[in-house]
Formats: sequence, structure tokens, C-alpha cells
Amino acid sequence: MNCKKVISRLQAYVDKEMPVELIREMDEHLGACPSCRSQAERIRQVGDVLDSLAVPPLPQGFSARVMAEARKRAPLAKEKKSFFPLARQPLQWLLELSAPMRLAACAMVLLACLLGMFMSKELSLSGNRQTSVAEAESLDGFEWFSPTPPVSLGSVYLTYASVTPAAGENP
Amino acid sequence: MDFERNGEMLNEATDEKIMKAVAGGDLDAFNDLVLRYQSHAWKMAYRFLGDSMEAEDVAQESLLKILEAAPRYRATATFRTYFYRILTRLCIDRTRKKRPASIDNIPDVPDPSLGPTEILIENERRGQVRTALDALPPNQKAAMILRHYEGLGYAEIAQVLGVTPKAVERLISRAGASLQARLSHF
Repeated sequence: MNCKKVISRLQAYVDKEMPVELIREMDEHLGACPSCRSQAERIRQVGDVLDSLAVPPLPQGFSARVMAEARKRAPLAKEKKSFFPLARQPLQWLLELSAPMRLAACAMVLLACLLGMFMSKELSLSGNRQTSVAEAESLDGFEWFSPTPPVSLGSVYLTYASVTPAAGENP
Repeated sequence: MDFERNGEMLNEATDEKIMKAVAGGDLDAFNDLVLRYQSHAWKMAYRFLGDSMEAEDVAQESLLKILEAAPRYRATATFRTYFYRILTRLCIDRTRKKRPASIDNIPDVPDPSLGPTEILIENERRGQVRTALDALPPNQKAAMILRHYEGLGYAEIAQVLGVTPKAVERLISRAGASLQARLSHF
């Protein structure tokens, strides 16, 4: 190793931050080179001088002050986690159930929807009674406008409203 | 790291386990963390800033930032590295705010074996070391303090500063050369 390379790595050498084989090479060079050896010594002396920088003791009550501030800030830190800081999150109750219970709850909701759809279809298809135009007029409160002018929007509406399609027929 | 509280040896839980508890809102666990790291926070902040009030402020803030960030903490590096990263950033930011320089007037405890003249010389020397350290660019100062006083290896310093280990070696070399030039008369 030449002096230029040794000097460029002297700090790492003094700090023992290099592979063992490289340290051996550095040792060899420094053993034979007084100039590089003296430079290594100056680097060590900087370390000794830095050691003279005293630090006052930790201020009394430091941890108590940190904890007092932590207690003030901790609720804020916790609140930030939830988008709904005060109210329960939507569907929180669902998350608190066990998996089988969650499945059962979803199945019941689905069943209720299907039942509702079925019953609604049944009601709409029940009976074949056709409503006459006159009845439709009174049902829909159009008697004030009777007779409905022919080929008017009202008469078309009442015609549609008065005819109940039989099962299987298009309206 | 073991330490005592009220005369009892505290649980040997790792820092990472304690952080998990802190993330869950456990302030007692946070208190344990404070007791473990308060001294390191204070010493590094004081060595970096040279002012007791600033150092206490920064040391306190570094620990509180850890509390606030706990829910987001992921152990991708050791907690120690994470702690020094936060503390170093705060120290560098505080330096960059360019507050008026204040030389701490807290007197050092004099060495009883030294005479008055020696004490004066010693204080003068410490003042010059302080000045030389303060003259370093922030990254060089941080690297030197983390290496020499806190005993971190180059690889860990690299993680703290967000640079490569080779860059850390260069930072410390340059810092060392600069300190040598200013303190060569010692």
C-alpha cells in the first residue's frame, strides 16, 4: 500500500472499521512509515481532546417533564388513529362478532331482502281484476279533470294504469 | 439495556417489544423507554448544540416524537438506530434555525487535583473544543458525535444519516482533519 492510500483510510483504521486483512496491511505500512504513523497518532489525539468536552448531568426531573407532556399528547395521538374519534365506526358491531356469527347475520339480511322481493311480486300479481278508466280516474284523483280528453297524456296514463297484465303477458 | 427504577431491575424486554406496547397506548412502557434513552438523548443533544436549554428541549422532543410515531413504527432497523435518526434530525434542524449562539455558562465541576491555573487552562481548552466542534458542518458534526461519543459503527451511522458507510468514513475523516487543524496546539 502506498502512503496516499493509507492516509485516505487512516480514520477507518483508527476506528477499526475495516476488514481484518486490510488492517494487517495498514499495520505493515505504518510499521515502516514514520510519517503515516505520526498522522495516525494525530487522529488518535483528536479523539483524546474530544473526550475533554464535558457534559453536565441530566437535568433533574427530565423524565417527569417528558411524561407530563406525553400524557397531554397521548390522547391526541390515539384519536388520530380513528376517523370517527367519538362515535363508533360504522359496522363496528359486525367486526366485533365472531366469523360464524358474521356469516349468519349476512345470511339473515339476504334472506330478508329475498323475502321482501318475493312478497312484493306476489302482491303485485295477485288477482286479475282490471280497473276501469272511471275507477282509475277516481283512484288517482283525476275526477276533477273528467272526462279525460282523448289521446291526451292523461288518457294514456289512465289506460296504462287501468290495465293489469295477466301473468306471463307484457304490460 | 438494564436499568433501575425505584431500586428494582426493570424487565429485560427489548426496545422493539416496548415500542409495540407504546404503539398500543401503554404509557408505562413509554416511561421505560424514556428512562432507557433519556441520558443518551441529553448527552448527544448537548454535545451537538452546546446549550443546556436547547439540548433539553431537543432531547425531550425526540422522545415525544417517538411516542407520536409509535403506531407507525416498523422494526426495519433497530430501535436504537431509529432513536438516533430522530434525535440527529432534530439537532440538525435546530442548528439550521440559526438561533443566536449562546455559550453555556454552566461551570464544569473542577477536578480537585488541579490548581486554579490548571482549571482555567482546562476550561479554555474545553471552550476551544466546543468552538471547533461547532465550526463543523452539521453532517460532519453528527457523524463525529455518533462515532466518538455514542460509539455507533459506520454502518449504523449510515442508517441514521441516510448515507452509505463510505460516505460516513469520508464525513468523519473530514471532521477529524478539520478538528486537527483547529486543535493542533493541544
